[in-house]
Amino acid sequence: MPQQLSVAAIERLLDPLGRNISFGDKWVDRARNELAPRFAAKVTALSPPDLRLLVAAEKVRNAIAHQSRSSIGEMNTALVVLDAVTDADLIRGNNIRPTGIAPYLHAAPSADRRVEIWHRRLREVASKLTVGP
Amino acid sequence: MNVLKLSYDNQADRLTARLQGTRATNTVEIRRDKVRLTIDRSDKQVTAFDIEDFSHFVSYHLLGELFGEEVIRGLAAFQSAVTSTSQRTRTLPFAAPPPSGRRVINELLRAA
Repeated sequence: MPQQLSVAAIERLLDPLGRNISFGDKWVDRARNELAPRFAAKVTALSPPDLRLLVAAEKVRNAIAHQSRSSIGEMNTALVVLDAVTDADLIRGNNIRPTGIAPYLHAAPSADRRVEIWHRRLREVASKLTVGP
Repeated sequence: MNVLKLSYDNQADRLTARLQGTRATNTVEIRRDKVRLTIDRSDKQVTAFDIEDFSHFVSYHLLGELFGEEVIRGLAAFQSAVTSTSQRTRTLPFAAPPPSGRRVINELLRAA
């Protein structure tokens, strides 16, 4: 097996039925059931604010991709339950409509634009998932 | 004003929520993934719910439809609190369930 796998190869390995790989509601359960303990432990050790952030990132992605009523609704829910301390700048105010996603991401509630804050926070969470050799 | 009384069992990692002032008479329990709802058939009202594996719970959408944003914000804050502090109970006042609540309850009862 090559040292660096392509995204397509990883998706085929993880999801042979061709469904979308979800980091959403089932992620922790799937990690517990399908990963070796030392990898699963990284996922189960994530804090509720981190887990809610990851789910919200997926819901924003889905809303951008599908723009369906249900995907927009789920995104709006996910953006309102973000942690009021850790992720205060990412919490939405009013309901976001399909045309409001870009303005939400590019708005700067503090010094940085939200899209940059999202990037920084997702990097932080990703670093918590690193497993040593 | 409605009030939800929240309590968290640390050992079982389970949240229990009870709507104050409701009588449990003609109830039915409906499970949706990690959420178990107790619904009063007569009043078409969720009188209680439990959430398993609460420290990893992320599926707030159904509860948002049933109780509104005010409640799910409070639940999320309580989730953060129980995993980082010794807090185990909280009361959560809220104005009124959203209009979507009745529709969702009807759908849940039909599917039960």
